[in-house]
Formats: sequence, C-alpha cells, structure tokens
Amino acid sequence: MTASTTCARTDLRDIQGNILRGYRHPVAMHLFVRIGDAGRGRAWLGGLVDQVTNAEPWQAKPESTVNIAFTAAGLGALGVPEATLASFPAEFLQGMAARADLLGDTGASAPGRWEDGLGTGGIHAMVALQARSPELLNDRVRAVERALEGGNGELAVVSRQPAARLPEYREHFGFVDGLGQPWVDCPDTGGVYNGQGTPQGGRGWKPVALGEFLLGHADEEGVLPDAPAPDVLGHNGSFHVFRKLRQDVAGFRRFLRQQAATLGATEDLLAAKIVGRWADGSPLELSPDRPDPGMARDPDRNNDFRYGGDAAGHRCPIGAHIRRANPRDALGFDEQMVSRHRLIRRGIPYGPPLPDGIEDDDGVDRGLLFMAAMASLTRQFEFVQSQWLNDGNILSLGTDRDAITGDQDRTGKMTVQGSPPQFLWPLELLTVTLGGEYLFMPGITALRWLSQGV
Amino acid sequence: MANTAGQATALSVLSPIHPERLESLEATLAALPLGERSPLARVATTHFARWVVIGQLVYEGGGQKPDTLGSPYLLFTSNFDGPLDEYLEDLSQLSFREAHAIWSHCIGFPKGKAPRQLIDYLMSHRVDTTMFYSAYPRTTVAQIRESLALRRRFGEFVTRSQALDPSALMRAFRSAFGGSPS
Repeated sequence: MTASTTCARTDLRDIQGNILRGYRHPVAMHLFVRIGDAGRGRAWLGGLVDQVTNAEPWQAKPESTVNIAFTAAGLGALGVPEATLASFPAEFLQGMAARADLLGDTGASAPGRWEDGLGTGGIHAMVALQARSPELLNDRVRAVERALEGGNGELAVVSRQPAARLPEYREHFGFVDGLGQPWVDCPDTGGVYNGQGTPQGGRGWKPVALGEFLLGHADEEGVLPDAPAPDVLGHNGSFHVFRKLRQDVAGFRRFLRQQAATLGATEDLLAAKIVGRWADGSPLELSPDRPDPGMARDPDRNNDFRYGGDAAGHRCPIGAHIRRANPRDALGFDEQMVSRHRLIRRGIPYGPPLPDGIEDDDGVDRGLLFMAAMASLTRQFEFVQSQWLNDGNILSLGTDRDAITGDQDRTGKMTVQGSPPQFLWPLELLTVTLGGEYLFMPGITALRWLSQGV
Repeated sequence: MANTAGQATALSVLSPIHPERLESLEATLAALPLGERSPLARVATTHFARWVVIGQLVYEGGGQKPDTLGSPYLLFTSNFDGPLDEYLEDLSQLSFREAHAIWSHCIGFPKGKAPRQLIDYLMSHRVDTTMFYSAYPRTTVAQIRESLALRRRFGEFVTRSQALDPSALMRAFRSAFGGSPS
C-alpha cells in the first residue's frame, strides 16, 4: 500500500467528523456503551453507521452530530478476531488505566478511584453527540438510546458524560481554550492560521502531515503510521483519548491570591505566567505586560509566535502550560523536536461555572472532558503528558511539573524566569483525573466493515 | 570503533538464544526488580544498561527483502564509567546470580559457575558499539548524582527564602551551603 499524500474528498466522506475540524457546538453528550453480545452490537452499529457525521465541509452547521469510537475491549466485544486485535499498538490494548504510572495518574487520580466505570474494561464504545441546543441534543441522545434498548439488555449505557461550552469557549479556570491546534495538511478542513503548523527555520510555518492524525496517510516521516491489519480497519481511523479532568476552581483562585500576595504580583499576571496566555487568550510571548484583546480575537495573530527569541523564558516561562504542551521551536532543531508530538484537541468543559469571586469549594463537580485525536497514543499523547507536562527534565527544569495539570503533591515549584526569577511554591493539586479511556475512532468504511462481522 | 566517549565505555553483547528456552528467558527478565533494586544498579558506575530480546527482525514492507534470524537473540547494552575490564569484574561479582540465570538461556554459554567464565563468554560475544553518544562524557554517575542532589537542595532553598531581605538571605545561604563572610 502506498502512502497517499493528500486527503481527497472521498477521504473526507470516510473520516469521522470533529477530528480535522471541531464542531464547537454548545452542548455535548458522551454515552459509554457496554456490548454484551457481538451480534447485537454489530446490528446496532450497522444501524448507526449512516447517521455518523463525517468530515465533509458543510455549508450550514448541522443541528446535531454523532460519532463513535471503540475501546480495545469493545472491538473484542464486537467479535473482532484475536489476531486482528493483536495488530493494534500495545498501549491501546492495555488501555489508559494500565498506563497510569506513566501518565501521572497517581494518588487522587489513580484508576482505583476513577468514576462511572471508566478504566475498568467494562466500557466498549463511546458515542459522542453534539448539538446546537439542549433540546436538539436530548432528541438525538434519545434516538441513540432507543436503538440500544430491547433484547435482553445486551447493549447498555453504563455512563453518561454531559458537557457544555462556557461563554467565549473558556475553560473553568477562566482561560479561552482550544486556541492552539495543529495546522493539518488537508484542504477544506478549516482556516490556515499562522503559528498552528510546524515552525520552519527562521521564519514561516508548514502544515503537519495528515498521517500524524489519521491512519493510512503519510506521516511526518513520510511513511504510513502503525496501523491494525487488515488495512480496511485502520484506514482513515484515528486514536482518541478521553479524560475526565476535575478542576479545583476555588483552589486555583486561592492559590493565585496567596502567591500574588507573597510575590507582590497581580493575580492576572501570575495566572498568565502559569498558562502562557492571558485569560482572554492573548499570548504572553507577544504581549508580556498586559492582555491584548484585539490580538486575542484575531486567529491570524493569536498563535503567530515562537520561543526562539525568549530562550530564557522572561516573556513566557519555560514551564508555562502552553509552552510545555507545544514547545514550538523552544527545544531547538526547528521542527524536528515537535512535529511528531502534536495533538488535535477536542475538549469541552463539564459542570456549571463557579461564580466569580468565590474561593470556597461549593462541592460541585466541574472540569474538562479532555479529548484528543492522533495517530499514535504513545508517541503523541503519552509523550506530551509524561515528558513535557508531567516532568521537567527535557526542559532543563529538573523534576518540575506543569503547574496547572501536573500531578502535584504540595512539594513542587514553578519557576517564573526573570530578573530576579520568582518561584511559585508549593504547587497545589488543581486537576484530578476522574477517569479515562483510549479509543479507536474508525473511518466510516471501517465502521461498516465492523458491523458486518469479520 | 566508538566503544568509548570521554571516560565512559559502551558494551554491547549479542547472544543467540536457545529457541525452546525463549519463554523461560522472557519470564526470567520480566521477574527482575526494576529501578534501584535492579541487579544492573548494583554496579554503581552504570549510566544505562538493559537486556533486549530480539525475537525476529521487523519487516517494514515497501518491497524490501525480508531478513530472518536463525534464532532469537539477546542484546545486552551497558554504558558505564571507566574501562571495560573493571565493569565486567564488578558485574560478574555483584550480579552473578542474575547474569548466570539470564545468559544460561543462550547457545554456547559455559556449563561452569565461575565468574571468570561469564566474563569470557561476554567478551567472546561482544560486538562493537558503532555509535555511542554520551550526554556527559566526562562526568561519572557519582558526580551526576551529587549534582542532582545539589540542584534539589538549591531549588528547595530558593523557594523557601525568596521573601527574605538581602542580609537575611546571605545568612540563610551561608548556613545552608557554607562559605565565609567576605
């Protein structure tokens, strides 16, 4: 099989939606399904395939969308033969819970404490739905759930994870989220914005190869990514990370207030130093002293930066969240250090916002359903999580972990580089993993193939 | 070839495994304790060391001629401070039991139980390390550990003392790290 270098219209009809281009609908529901009988599971999938939203560009946003992905256990539950399953990468077969130590899911985030059956092996499929309104979402969810009913309850929804956007696409800590996304080498899937691709030597940016996100296409090495056999199963499929991350918003506010008092800085500046962007999204690298709302709103400018002129981290700290998650040119060697570790992020917040000014925990669960698409779970998500976010060695930051998502135990610090440098210490545990799954989101043809039994 | 970088030495040993003993070897390797409790960690001059079972060569497709091995192979690589003979002496003394249990799965391993025989076997199966990269070619494991401990201590010091005024900071620094008043 030869590597295709472009993504044709036929591919866009075959690739599931929300991978190459985010729907950005206001509300979403994630149904986690258990398949107790392979025949019934395949019949259900066969009935669902024609409704699955694909990646074709649309003129008007659809009222609702539906997509589906499977865990390794789920593929087995559909009757996929052992030899076919064994052709999937080991980390997918093991599942996210088995990778907890590597991912920093320890202590309060340990899989033994996960909720809703996530990570137990009892979850087989995720049906992800988005809609333009809660009513439209409910209708679509009901339709999916009706198709699961009947028989002797072989098919069951074991967990429901609702989610809803906050105003201005902010996340619960208050930052506009989802600004940095890879510019993927595939026309018709969204705008081309400066700063979203791979930094080229000195100036300019180039798109990231399609095969970094979709199987059956050439990746950054110019070869096909590792894929299951037979080809029909993998082609136009994508690996998918789902993580339910609880955010301690009151704790974040208390932390900022205490640290700002200790250091004599403003809370807004400290928050920006932790994240690498001001709350409105304007990047510190371009606007280090104050937010720039005009820049924040302009997709041609709010990512058009690199770190090469700020090696010491005086504008954007070396350990800032966005600089860790995508170091751009900060690790040297131009694109070679980052182009194989990009993620397409499709997260959406869950839970109601904590009203402004409240610093006492109200006991309400809120956070982010972190989702990301990629060709290799281990080279992309696991690498970024374990090497760039939850460690500091590669960045010459010792054992420092990301201040906002790191697995913190009240001993860690974050260095805010400057003259003199300042230290945020001790860092608090602000984000806790409540559960997660590694999933495979097959192409439409592969879904049909799975539904027909193999 | 490039078996050394600065004061550090690289050792590569490639041994054919008795095919019928492959599973037993894999179980032996899987049962080894990890990290500081690894038998490889007993030789304190070791930077990195590992055993790798090469079951079969990967066929990458694309019209290449597939190569096959006559038997599975065990690859042992180790990077350490100082000369090879001292390392082998240490390994054969400090980790003999585990080393013997592992390499006795390989074709041609001597029947006897003398550390000298283990060293001779490893030397006879040694291959050149054709590309050896060492991040700190002039720094020993002991020096790296000391540096990391100092860095950790300094990191703790600066986070806890950043609110001090200059004279209190100087006193705190001298009491933590020594040095006489100027």
